[in-house]
Amino acid sequence: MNPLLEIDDLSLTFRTEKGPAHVLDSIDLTMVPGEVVGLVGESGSGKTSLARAILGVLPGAQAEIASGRVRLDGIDMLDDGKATRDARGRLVTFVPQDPFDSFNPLFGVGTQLADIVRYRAPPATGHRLARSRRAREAMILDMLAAVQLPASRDLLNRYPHQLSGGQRQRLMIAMALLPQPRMLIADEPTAALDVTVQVQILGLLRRIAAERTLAVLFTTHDLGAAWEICDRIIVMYAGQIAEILPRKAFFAAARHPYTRMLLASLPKPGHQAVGIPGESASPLAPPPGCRFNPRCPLASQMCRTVRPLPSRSEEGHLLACHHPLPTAS
Amino acid sequence: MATSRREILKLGLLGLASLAGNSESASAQSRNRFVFANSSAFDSLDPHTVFDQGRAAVRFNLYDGLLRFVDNPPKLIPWLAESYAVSDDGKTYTFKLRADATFHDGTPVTSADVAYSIERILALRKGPASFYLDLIEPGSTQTPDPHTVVFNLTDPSAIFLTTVPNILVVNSALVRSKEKDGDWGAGWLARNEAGTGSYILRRYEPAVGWSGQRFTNHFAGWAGQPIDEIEFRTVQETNTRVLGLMRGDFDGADGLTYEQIQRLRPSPNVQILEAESMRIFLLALNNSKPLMNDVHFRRALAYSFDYDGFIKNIMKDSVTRNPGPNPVTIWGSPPGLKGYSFDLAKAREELAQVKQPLRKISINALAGYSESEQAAVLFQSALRQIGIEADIDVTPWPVVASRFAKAETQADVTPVWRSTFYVDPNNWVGEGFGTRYHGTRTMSYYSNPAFDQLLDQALLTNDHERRRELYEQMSQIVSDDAAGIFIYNTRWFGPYSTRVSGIRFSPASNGNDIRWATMTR
Amino acid sequence: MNVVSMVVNRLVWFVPTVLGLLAVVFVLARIVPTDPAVLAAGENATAEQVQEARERLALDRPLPEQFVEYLRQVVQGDLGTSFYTQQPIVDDLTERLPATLELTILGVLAAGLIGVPLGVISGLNRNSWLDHLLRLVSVLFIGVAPFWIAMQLQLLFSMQLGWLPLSGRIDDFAPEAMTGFLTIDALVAGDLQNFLSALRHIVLPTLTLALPGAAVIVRFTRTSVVEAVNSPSVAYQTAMGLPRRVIVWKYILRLALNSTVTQLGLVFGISLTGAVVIEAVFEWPGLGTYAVRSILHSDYNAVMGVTLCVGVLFALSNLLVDLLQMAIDPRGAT
Ligand SMILES: Nc1ncnc2c1ncn2[C@@H]1O[C@H](COP(=O)(O)OP(=O)(O)OP(=O)(O)O)[C@@H](O)[C@H]1O
Ligand code: SF4
Ligand SMILES: [Mg+2]
Repeated sequence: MNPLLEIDDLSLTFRTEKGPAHVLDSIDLTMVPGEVVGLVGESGSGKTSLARAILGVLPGAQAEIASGRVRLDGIDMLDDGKATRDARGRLVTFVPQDPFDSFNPLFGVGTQLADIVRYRAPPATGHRLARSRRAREAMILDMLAAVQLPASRDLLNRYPHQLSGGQRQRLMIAMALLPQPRMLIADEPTAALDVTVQVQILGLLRRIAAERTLAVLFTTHDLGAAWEICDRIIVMYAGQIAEILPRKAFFAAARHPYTRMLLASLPKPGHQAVGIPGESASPLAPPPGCRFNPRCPLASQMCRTVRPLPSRSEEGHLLACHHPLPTAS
Repeated sequence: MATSRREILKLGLLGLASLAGNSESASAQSRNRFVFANSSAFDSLDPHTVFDQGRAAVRFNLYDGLLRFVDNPPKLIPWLAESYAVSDDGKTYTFKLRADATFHDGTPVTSADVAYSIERILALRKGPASFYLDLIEPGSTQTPDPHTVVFNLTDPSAIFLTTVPNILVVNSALVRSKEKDGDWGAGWLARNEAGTGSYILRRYEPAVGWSGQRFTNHFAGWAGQPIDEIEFRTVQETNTRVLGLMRGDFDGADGLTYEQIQRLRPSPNVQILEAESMRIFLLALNNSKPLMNDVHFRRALAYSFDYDGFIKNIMKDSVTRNPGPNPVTIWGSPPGLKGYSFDLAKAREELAQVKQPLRKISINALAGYSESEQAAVLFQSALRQIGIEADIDVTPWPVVASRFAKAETQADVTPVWRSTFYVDPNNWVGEGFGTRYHGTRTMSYYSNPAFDQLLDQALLTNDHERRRELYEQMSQIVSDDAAGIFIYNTRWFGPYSTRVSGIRFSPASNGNDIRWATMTR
Repeated sequence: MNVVSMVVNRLVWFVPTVLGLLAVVFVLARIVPTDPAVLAAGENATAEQVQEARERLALDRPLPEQFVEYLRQVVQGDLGTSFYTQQPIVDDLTERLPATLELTILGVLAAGLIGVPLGVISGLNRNSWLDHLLRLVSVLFIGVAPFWIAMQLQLLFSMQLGWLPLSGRIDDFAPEAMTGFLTIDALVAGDLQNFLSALRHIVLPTLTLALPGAAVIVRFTRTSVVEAVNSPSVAYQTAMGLPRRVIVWKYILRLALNSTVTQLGLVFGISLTGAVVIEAVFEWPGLGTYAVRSILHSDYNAVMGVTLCVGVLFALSNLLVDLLQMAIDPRGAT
């Protein structure tokens, strides 16, 4: 299958008051249509930055692409051309982390959905007046049903603050789906929700992705959630990809010391969650070589000087470590 | 799409152009209309309660009196009355009214209207009433026939005749019909007009001003090309009056300083008329206060004002020195009256003769009148040189006026003007220094039996030469006693549009009498 | 907070505020060196008449008692009689109020029309030369005295260019009033000449009034636009590829306006006090010229009447702004 998303050797630096922050370091990633990929990493590891790079909405004043490119269906997303602008919000859409803040509080949600349809969705088929208000409303109501919301005008007339967190996030998903994209980026879509709603939303995403052959890049802190719905999981540490695992291999085949520590820190029945000792690496002064080396028990002299290149250990499993651990027995 | 947008733009621009373009619109310029920027507000049009120079336009244009002052020096001419006679005892004045005079509503003017008017003045006790309150008993005025009115004075009064132009005649039938709760129609007449005047009130808004239309049937008739419409607008901001004159918005204005007059001279739209007037500027002294009641102290003060410096440097020579209590332009001052000069040595000599302990004195300057304030400052600094301290208090005219009402409240020194209320030396030296005017029109609380005796005589006799002698003597006394410090007589500067001609200036009307003027169209 | 409790809250605060204001003016009026009894009795009054006026006006009683008496009259809608115009002050005020209101309302509208777009442009182009220029200009306009602005505008537009009238509210006299707002009256009457005349006359006073208000609005709108630009909802819409113009002129503008409205009360206050000052310059026949005249003539009843009137207007405008804010912010009225 032809890849939908191709990221080659992407390095991203933010200019900050304290100097350049090396936020992404030589990222390689491809996704095929319909694939659900989880992006897992600690806070500050660069998940959102990567997502924004794909959407082409990095803050122009600060962001500097040190190297690499991002292509979506052949379109250069780091470009500022018309093709890129057309692709954004149409070819690739976005579900934000906080659905409450991401709505404009002063407009009814219906208006905000309608504008997405009006400016981003392809014309509805089957309607005589495909671009009419009525047609747009019909599209929206259909979509409400698809995200398991009551397909009512009443809901559309409400303001964001009059809805529950779950409803808001379903609406966000609806908005992300209305343009009929081929790829959807969901940046911690459930972080602001409580657990039962999280499960429902994740299920919804999973189902929709399958139904619509939608590629989903899903970022999360939550290994468990990623494992639930993803075909592949990418583990990031301080702007570097540590390991890419197929879903089935995640628990069994993880070999990178960082992935293993993450897994070990998962709360187990009867145990408190344990964090990973040490501070996350600062992108302002990233350690040379493997950025994880200051916290890695296996770190060697080589780790502190030479960056480990990702190598394919078996089908779909990529690993960037000089001293990978043996497969867990 | 593009064309329609352009259309809209065009329309918008057109609208803007019509807004901005014809600011010299039809209204002001093409009609024969005279617009005057008046510095005082016309809060009331009642001719019997309002009696200041600032609002004189109402009295001179909407109303008429039995006699009228015109020209300079002022002349009293017959007006609603065609003749008058004075009895030998000087107490009975009989006026014969013209037969052809009518009010604006067409009602003929009769003696009953005149009688009603004087009764109304006496009852309301405002404005010109002070001339008559002690002179005419309510109900004493007789109307033997519709065209004869007889005033019966309680005492002979030599100045009565010169105050007659102030008995403006109102339409008694009309005003009576508007009376409410015995108010003599005051509520109604404050906002309406019931006169015979040369102009008929057309519109009045207290906050804006008033306008009048020429009364073509006016009894005095019309000569030449009189102005058809007059408008007196309140323009309190001096700068706006100046700019409006330059722009041609206004055809006349009052209340400008000499500097502003000079600023107007180069303007092609403006002409400056000039005339000798009768408005003196003095430092009014409160002669009743301790220390101030010592003639030597007052003389010391009189020697401490830099008259020439003030006239030259502050007034820019726009005025003439006036050494005595009467304007130099009127009779009643002794020939060669010298007055005082700036001489601190003499001041110190006089001061040495003062018995009472010295104290700080108070100067009350008029707020908003820079000459008054500057005179106060100049005086204060000169006094310091002879060892007298002075405090300056600057207050608006109503405060000054209410302080003048009592000997205890009038400041020691008040730099102030005295205008023409009627054209007779009594207006200045008589009222300013006679004991009989204490609490009313005095400026001095000066009390001198010898002076009062002369004054009594002067008010009783109608013999002009005798009166001249008496007022000259009074002036000399006031000067010798330094009962006031007399500085200058104002020149009148009337800024008018160059389209206006024939302004007939009189110190009584100050250019407010519009019926004689003409405008080019 | 719901509407009712907000209104009640405002009203509860309104009473002590106005009371305090009146008390201050009352005391100030009594310490001026003019005897109100003399003024009330009028010229040529005899000592007995002055005394009679003093008793009639209760001026011989203790100050607090006088104040209570004054309040009792105010509650009955009687502000007393002006010493100067000899009219009930209520009549004087109602005669002049429309002129001031017309000017103030137009001034606030103009301030919004000038201030909001400039604020948006400034906020969108943060730190551009335009932004710096606008900030400088707005600081100037906030700092500079309104009458100075007025005179500069007069010199430019009336004297130099001759486009607009120097002073007054209309050429000639106003047509019979319906609303007292000349522009509206003339329009309703279909009187184009008077409408244009009234409009031409109101341009400069409105502009003078609007500039300081506009400066406040520019600064405030700029801040709220910057805030809106950086808000998550705008980031989301950008990521969703909504056209920039829709984001700016629909969503950002609305966010910015919402917070700008909170400043309208302030702008109204600036305009109202500005009106009082600049009316004199333009000879605008409203409360301002009346206030100046009353102060000059120690017409303390009138001064208190104007103060009360302006205070009530200000409180009303704040109430209106609060209601407006509730009406336009969906989160306000739950
Ligand atoms: N506009 C910016 N300017 C400068 N630094 C930035 C900017 N945006 C992000 N960063 C920095 O880039 C790094 C990565 O941030 P990013 O938000 O991509 O991480 P994340 O993995 O999404 O974290 P989280 O789990 O907290 O969302 C952080 O160190 C952050 O401080
Ligand atoms: S490369 Fe070295 S430092 Fe990095 S994870 Fe592997 S062992 Fe640890
Ligand atoms: Mg993030």
